[in-house]
Amino acid sequence: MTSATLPVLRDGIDLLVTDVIERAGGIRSIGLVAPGGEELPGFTAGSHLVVGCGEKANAYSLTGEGLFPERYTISVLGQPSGRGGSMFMHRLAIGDTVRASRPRSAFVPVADARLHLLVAGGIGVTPILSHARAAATWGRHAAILYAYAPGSDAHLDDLENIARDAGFELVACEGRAMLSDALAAFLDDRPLGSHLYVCGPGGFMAHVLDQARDAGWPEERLHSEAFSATELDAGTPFTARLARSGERVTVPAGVSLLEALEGTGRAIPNMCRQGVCGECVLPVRSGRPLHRDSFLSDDERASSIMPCVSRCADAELELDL
Amino acid sequence: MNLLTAPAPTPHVNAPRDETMVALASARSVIVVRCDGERLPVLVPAVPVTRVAVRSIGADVDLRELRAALEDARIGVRFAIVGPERTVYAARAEIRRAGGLDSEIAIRVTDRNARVVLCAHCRERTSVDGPTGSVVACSGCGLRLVTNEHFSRAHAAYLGHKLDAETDR
Amino acid sequence: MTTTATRLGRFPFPFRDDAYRYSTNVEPARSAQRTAAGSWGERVIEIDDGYARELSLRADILERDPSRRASAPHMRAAEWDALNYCLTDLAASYPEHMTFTREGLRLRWVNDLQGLEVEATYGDDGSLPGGPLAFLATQIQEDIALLDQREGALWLDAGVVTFAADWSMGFDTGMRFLEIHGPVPRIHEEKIITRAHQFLLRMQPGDAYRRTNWTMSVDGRLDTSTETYPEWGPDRVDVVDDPALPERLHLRVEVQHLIRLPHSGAVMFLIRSYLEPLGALAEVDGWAGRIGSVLRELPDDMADYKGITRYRHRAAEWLLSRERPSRR
Repeated sequence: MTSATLPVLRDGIDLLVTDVIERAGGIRSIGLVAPGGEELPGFTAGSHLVVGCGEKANAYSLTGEGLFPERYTISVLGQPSGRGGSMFMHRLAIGDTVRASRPRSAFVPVADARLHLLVAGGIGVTPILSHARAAATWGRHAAILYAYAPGSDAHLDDLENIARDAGFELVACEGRAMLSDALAAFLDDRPLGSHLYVCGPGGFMAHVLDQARDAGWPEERLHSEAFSATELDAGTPFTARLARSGERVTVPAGVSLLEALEGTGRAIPNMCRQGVCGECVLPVRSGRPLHRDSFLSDDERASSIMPCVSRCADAELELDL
Repeated sequence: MNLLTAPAPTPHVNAPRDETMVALASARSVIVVRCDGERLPVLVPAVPVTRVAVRSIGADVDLRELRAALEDARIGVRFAIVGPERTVYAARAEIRRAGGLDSEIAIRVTDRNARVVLCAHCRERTSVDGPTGSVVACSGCGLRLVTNEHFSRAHAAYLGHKLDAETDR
Repeated sequence: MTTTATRLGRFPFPFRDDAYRYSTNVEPARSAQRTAAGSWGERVIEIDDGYARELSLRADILERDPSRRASAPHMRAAEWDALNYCLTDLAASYPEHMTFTREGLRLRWVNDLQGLEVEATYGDDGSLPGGPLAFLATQIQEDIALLDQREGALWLDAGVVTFAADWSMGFDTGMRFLEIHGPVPRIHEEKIITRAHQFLLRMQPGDAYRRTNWTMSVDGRLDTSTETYPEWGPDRVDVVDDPALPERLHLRVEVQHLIRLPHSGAVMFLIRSYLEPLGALAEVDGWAGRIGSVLRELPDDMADYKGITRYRHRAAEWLLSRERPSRR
């Protein structure tokens, strides 16, 4: 199995590596363009690309602002002891092609925030950089805190430039020792209507969020980047057995049950293909469905499935078809 | 906010209903908003408390004290609003306009009799005593208005439209 | 631009069965839908022979009642996003009349149907008369609603809606999606609206879907907002006994496009209303019988909500009599 079966990559775009910058702390910035020079899809601040890294697929935040991008820029922390995705990215050369999803949005600025507090830890600076650029472009108020390990201040210069031009407060925090104090000062005395955004390693984000909660920040004002597992998971292959004909249909990873059934020439009524409208519901005879829809009630889930989004926990699912 | 995770389904809210007092335990400061002289006691944690009074005068609301308090409001503040519905909801709308979120606002409505209806035709606000379906003469254009169930939190008013618009020429 | 025959050919006939109920009827946009009279749906924005008339009507309505237009300061990015999306779509769909080009942030728009040539700078509200949303509303027949996603909800914070079917843009501005649909019967118990809501919340940038909605309108009147109810309300009574009912009573179909704008992340609703008199619709094979059956069968609470109670049975009688008289 390769990453090519992931639906977001299948429906994605090819991108050409156009430039590479090695930064402090083992971080490498990569510039990507459309191979034919076409316009790239614009994106919302805080968006990411899912990139096929050989057998794996990883999500990387886009550092740009998102308006009429001429190129996409991502920064990748090399992790030699990881699953291999980042090392694949670190071996890319100018002229290489990668397969990527269209920009996916999961970490959006709150448009009516009075003040955007942007907190970055290490490689978490990438979507924060995008947020800072968007705030500057649209005249929003922002303040930035960037915490990094000694010597690993990638993109600090970019943040300094943005902060200076837009009049944003910028706090640089080198090393772990000063983080709590710097954060306490950063969180203090902020106007009603402020929102906080944090991205970085899991432990860092947990620290920041806990400290903010203790300072009285309600959950709805706290935003953290979370790459959804589902977009990186093509699902396990299974077999659909059609009870009336006895036919068996393979449902590979990255292909929906609906698509697999349509592939046999059958016309299954469907509309939204997203699990909300209820059109494609099919009766289940045996096998445990993995329900991913938002249509069926708990009772209905016992004996039905929405094939456009749901899969099977077992090797075989028997349908009354 | 993660667009990829389905949020918990919120129950339908159309007409306002009694909302239980959210614990103010996580508050760093509290602003207690007493509407129309309401005397219901409000339990507050041991944090700085500011008390303001808000008053309805007919269909209008005097929000000056609340506005002044909002100017100094900082993250960590929570609001407790008590009193008759129409004034409470006007206060809430003002707090939301200043950037406050629902989770920072606790409400106790003590009286639902008096409402404010917004005329769809001339946009004036009129006080009305009574439930959905009540009829009142619009203070702006004089038309007899029927009070709808449809409520706007931003306007803090119910929608009113001309009574018998189809048969009354 | 289009004759009556083509109008019917492109009419988005909304009924798949002889009975109608609410459903979460969203489907991908830009797919052609065949009907007995032709096909529709391959475009998101449609221009037809009502273009000049409807835009002129919109301008009049806004002049008299600016509350039909809303534009919160935090929606600036969304408004430019909407303008960019729609002008790009128009230029792609109608290249013989419209051109949209961009150099950096400089935009150039040419609309031959209006003899218009405009240049503006993306993000600079002052470079476009009235700002991007107001300008967009002068270029398309669709009503526009922009919803901001935050606090787990969708907020109607900007838009231009001059052709509301029995609701008030001015009143609903600032409301959440679920609250706007508060008064609609049945959709809450049956979870239809919460499913639609979840669907919208999950839309990814660039996603475009559509659904249809329907009601009826006397004399083909577009502005049936709550604001002007005293003007059009009495027509509902008048038309019942009017021998010209088949010409006066129109089926009104709304095609709603739901789009997640790529740059701002806002959700844009484009609402396009198509009105045809029953008499014309009855000329198409099968339509008289289908519309008649739907009107006859519709539960009372749904008919009441759609405002068609007074005339729906009379209309159904006429339509069913047109279907196949010998088989009745």
